Amino acid sequence: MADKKRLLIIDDDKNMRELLELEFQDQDYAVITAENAFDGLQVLKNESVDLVVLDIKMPGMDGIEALEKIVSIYRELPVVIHSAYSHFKENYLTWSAVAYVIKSGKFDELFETVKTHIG
Amino acid sequence: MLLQNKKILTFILSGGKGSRLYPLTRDRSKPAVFFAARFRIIDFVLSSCINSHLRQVYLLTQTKSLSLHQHLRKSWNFLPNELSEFVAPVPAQQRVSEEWYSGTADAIYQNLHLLEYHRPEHVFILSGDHIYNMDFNELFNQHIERGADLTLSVLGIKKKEAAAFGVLTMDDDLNINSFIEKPQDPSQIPGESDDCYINMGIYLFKTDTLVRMLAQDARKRSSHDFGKNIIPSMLGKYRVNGFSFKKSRFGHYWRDVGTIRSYYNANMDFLSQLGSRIICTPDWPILTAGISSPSSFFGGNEGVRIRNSTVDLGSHLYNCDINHSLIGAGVTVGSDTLIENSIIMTDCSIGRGCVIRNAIFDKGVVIPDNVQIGCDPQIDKEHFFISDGIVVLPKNFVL
Repeated sequence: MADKKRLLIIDDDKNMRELLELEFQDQDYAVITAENAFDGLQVLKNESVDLVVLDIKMPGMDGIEALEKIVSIYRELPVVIHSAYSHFKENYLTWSAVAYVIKSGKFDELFETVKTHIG
Repeated sequence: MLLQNKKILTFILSGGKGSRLYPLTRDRSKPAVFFAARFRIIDFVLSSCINSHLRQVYLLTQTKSLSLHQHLRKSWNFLPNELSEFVAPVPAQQRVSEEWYSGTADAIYQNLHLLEYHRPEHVFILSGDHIYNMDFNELFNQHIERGADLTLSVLGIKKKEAAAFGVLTMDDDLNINSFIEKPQDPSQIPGESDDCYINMGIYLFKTDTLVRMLAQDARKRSSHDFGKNIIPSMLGKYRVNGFSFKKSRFGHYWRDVGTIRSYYNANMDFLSQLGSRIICTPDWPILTAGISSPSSFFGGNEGVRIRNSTVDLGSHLYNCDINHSLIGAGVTVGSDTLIENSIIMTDCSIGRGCVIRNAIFDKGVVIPDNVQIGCDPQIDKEHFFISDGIVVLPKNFVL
C-alpha cells in the first residue's frame, strides 16, 4: 500500500485544527498540525510534508510571512491558504500559494483543492 | 499620455558584478563605474527615468554596493519625498530567505512587498548596466494602446554580435513569438540580411501579470531570470510585445559596456559629435554629482595643447599635450607629458615627461615623472593589468 500523503495544517484556532485533522484523516491523509507559524516551520525542518494548509491571521508570524519563508526554502512544496478573510486574496504576497480557499462551514473546496495538488 | 501621475513603480537592477570590467569593478559594482570621466554608468538610466517622469525608483543592489550607495546619496537625493518621489537603493537584505538575489526575477520577487505597498498598475524593470537615453513615455504609450502584459524594448544588431544577448523574433504586429537567451545560432529579422533583434533589458509589465509570473517562477527550480525563464514562459499565453528602440526618440545610441574594450569604445564615442549629442541634449540632461571645484587651470609658458578631448572641473594641466582623451575632475598633469587615446578618471596625478597611450586610469591613480604606459606591450605586460589590449590601472594605483 502506498504511503499516505502528508499534510501540515498551520492554524492558531484549536477547533479548526482538530476538525481539519479529523476530516483529512478520514480522507486517508496523514496529518500534522501546528498552532503557529514558528512551530510549522520547525515541523518542515524535521518532517517530510506533501502540502501545507496555512491560516493567515495568526499571532506573531502571520501566514503571509510564513508563506514567503516556506516558498523560499521549499520551493516546490504546495501551500494552500485557508483563511476566513477574502481580502488577502488581493495581496500580492499571497500569490505564491497554489490556492486560496476561504474558510466556511464546509470543507469540500479545501478537500478538492488539496486533492488537485497532491492527489 | 504622459507617465506623470500614472501609478508606475520602477526597479533598476543594479547588482551587476561586471566581472569582465575588472579591475574597474574591483571595488564597486558595474553601475557605479565611472563613465565619460565624470558620470557613473547608472546616471544614464536614472536620468532617463527622471526626464521621463518615472520618479518612484528603487535600485536593487547587491555586491560591492557601497560606492553606488554613496553616489546615490550625493547625486540622486533631490526628489521631494513630500510628493512621494524618490530614488532609493534597496540592498539585498535576505528579508524573505537566507539567499542573496539568485537571478533578475528573484531580485524582484524578494521585493514583492514593495509592489504590495505601492500597488502600481505597471512596473518598469530596467538594467543599470547600459549607456543610452530613452523617453519611457513612448514605450508606455505603446504598452497601453496595445493592452500588453509585457512590453520589452528591442534593438536590431548584427547577427555576429547577437549571440551574447537574448535574441527574439517578432511579427509585424509586434508580438514576440520566440525568445532564446544567448543562442548559438541567433534567429534573424525576416527581410533583414544579417540583423537580429536583441532584448535590451528594458521591461514594462502589467503588475498583476508580473506578480503571477514571479510567483510561479519562485516555486520552480530555475535560474529565476527574466531572459531565461520568465519571458519564454509567457510567450503564447500572454500579450508580449516588442518596442522598437531604433524608431524611438533616442534610438540612435545604446551600448552594452560589458567588456573593457566595449567600455573603452563607448567612452571614446563621447569624443565625437555623436557622443556630445547624447550628453548635451538640453531638454534631456544627464544628471550626476555636482562638483564644487573651480574651473580647470591650463598653465605653463608653452601652454597646453588639447585636441578632441574633454577636461572636467578642478584639473591642473601644465605644458602638456592631451589628444583624444577624457580627463576627469581634479586631475593633475605635469609638463612635457603626452596623454593620447586614454581615459583618466577623477583625482589622478600624472608627473612630468610621461607618455600615456591607450590606457584607462581609474580614480586616484598616481604616476611619477618620466613613465611610459601603452608604448611597449612587453614592458606594459610586466608591470600593469592589460585587458583587450588596453592598460587598465585600478583605483588608487600608485606607481
